[in-house]
Amino acid sequence: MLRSFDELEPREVLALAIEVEEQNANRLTTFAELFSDYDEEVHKTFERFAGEERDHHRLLVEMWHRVFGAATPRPSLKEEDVREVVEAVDLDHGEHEIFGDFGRAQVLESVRRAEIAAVKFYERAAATARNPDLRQLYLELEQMERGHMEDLEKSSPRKTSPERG
Amino acid sequence: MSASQTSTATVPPSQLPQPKATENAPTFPPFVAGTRVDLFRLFPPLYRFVRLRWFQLAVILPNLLVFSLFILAGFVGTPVGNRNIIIVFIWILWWFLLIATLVPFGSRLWCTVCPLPFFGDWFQRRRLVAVRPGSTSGLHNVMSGLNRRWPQKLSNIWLQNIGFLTLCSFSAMLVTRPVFTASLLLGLMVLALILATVFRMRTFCNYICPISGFLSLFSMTSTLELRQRDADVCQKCKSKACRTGSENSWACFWMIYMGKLDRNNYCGLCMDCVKSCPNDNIALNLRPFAADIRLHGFDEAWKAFIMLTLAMAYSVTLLGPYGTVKDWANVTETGMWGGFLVYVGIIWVTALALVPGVFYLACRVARRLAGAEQVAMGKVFLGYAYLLVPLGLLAWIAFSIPLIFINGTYILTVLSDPFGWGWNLFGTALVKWHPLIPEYLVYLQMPLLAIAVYYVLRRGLVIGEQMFGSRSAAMRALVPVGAFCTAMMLAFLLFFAG
Repeated sequence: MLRSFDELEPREVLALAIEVEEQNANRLTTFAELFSDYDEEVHKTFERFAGEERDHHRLLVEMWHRVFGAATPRPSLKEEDVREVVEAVDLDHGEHEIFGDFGRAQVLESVRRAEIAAVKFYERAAATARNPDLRQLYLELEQMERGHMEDLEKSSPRKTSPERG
Repeated sequence: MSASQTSTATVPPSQLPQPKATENAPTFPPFVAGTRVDLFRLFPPLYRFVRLRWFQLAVILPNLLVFSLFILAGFVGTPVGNRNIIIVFIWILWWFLLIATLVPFGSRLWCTVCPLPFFGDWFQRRRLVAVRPGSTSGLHNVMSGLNRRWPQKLSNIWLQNIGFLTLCSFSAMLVTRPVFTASLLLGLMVLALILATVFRMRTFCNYICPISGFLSLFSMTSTLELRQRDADVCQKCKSKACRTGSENSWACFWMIYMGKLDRNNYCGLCMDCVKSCPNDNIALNLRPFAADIRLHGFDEAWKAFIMLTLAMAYSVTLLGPYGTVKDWANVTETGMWGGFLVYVGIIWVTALALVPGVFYLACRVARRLAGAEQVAMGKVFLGYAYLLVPLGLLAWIAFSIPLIFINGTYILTVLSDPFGWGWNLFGTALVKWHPLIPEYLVYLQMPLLAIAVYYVLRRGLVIGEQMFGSRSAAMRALVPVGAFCTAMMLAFLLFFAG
């Protein structure tokens, strides 16, 4: 049975965020492999971002240790257990390999979209959270994702960020 | 490699993964979601059948055997076209079934059973049924061959456009000479095999096959689609096994990523993704006619121009009273090469330049009437070019109706005497040719042309609203484009009604 993000407790939210970063790294690795013979630049760009998602994952694990303690086991909450999509890099359409129209710029745009979605997600969640600890957590996650997005935009020609709500 | 990794056995239904209940799953009836009816949920045996490892072999092998018979008949049977099974079954029966039923109601179901790429697939997979897990170019299967990527500059359907135009230029020979048709089919099979040894997956189907070219375009109108059930599930999926394959499933040979597929054009309905998806998130949907409305590029737009022009050209040549045109087209019998070149030249110039040129002017006027000069002309042209897809399909169906009704009795004849050698296998070899209801055919064709105009106007409004942002602008813009399409349909009616 799918749960709504609003139903999660703070521990579960952070556990989910950790899981999301790990799975995003896996998705990016899958895309990197898929494009390995297709376009070297696209392959390397996907690999680079996969590495960055693993860094984000490590940072969130450190956050878990800081907030809940290293000895506290994380809930085994998976992305597919929650209705909403928090952050998931994906392609634009299903025919990229047929037309050969997926380049480095599209990779950056795909990752950027995912990061923007994550920023907006945590922003909305912070605005609606009643639990002050949970709200604080959402704000920290939003800040972290915003940092990811700003790092990305420094390496991308496009410079648009969601306005702070 | 363990037996479990390369299982060729049927998975018992009790062990098949059951559809997961998701928040987006329809409630009642469970197989309906918006304008889509999920056939896998409506008919669970269908779902179980396509998930069988031997599904593809089961549907392709009989067709391969039939094709082999046809090719043999083409080479050794009678040279008289209407007495040879290859001509009658391919250019009368198969063509009519393809254009009038398979495509509009089954999308690319022909590709599901097509035998042309069979040997190429077999070469690459080195298996008829089982899966070879491993790694090849980012996919989780072992593929034989060089697995080169098709050149990026040719990664479109221009080759198919030119190939189809070339074939159609010689259609009078193809549809009357068994040996030519047999050579074409055999040649395509050999070409598919050669390409499979060098390039990856269904390169032949995606970029070369002349049948695939128009199937890709007209499948946009089909009432059948294979899509992800829940886009969020695909977005969250980390394996993307629909594309990459897995240790238990083949990667998509059509190089499609199902997670974001939003139109029918290049999905060959092989059903491998239904087996691959770890989330049971692929649905086979019934949907409204002409639901896909996005053309990807100008190659597809020009395919629409070519198909519309050819429907007109064949109407003039085969159904019209112009003996000279027929003689020019039938050059191998008449020897009128000068006339043939004029005939071919007119078709090519009309298809590639004249019709697109007039349509472009109509789009320019449309944009001006919409008061939306800021919208890029390319976007307007490509947007409205889609309207020629349902238009072209229905024109082709209308054109094909006389083919089957006037020549249909030959089917019975060649069924009993496939090689034209005087056999009578089923007692129908002596059925005399007679046309079926020739005086009423126009009453079958007219409604199709009317439906075409209806869809042009209906879809044209939707497309116009998307481009120009308002219904009133879309209605004004539709006038010149709608007039163009209506004029085309009236021209068809003129030929059909005599």
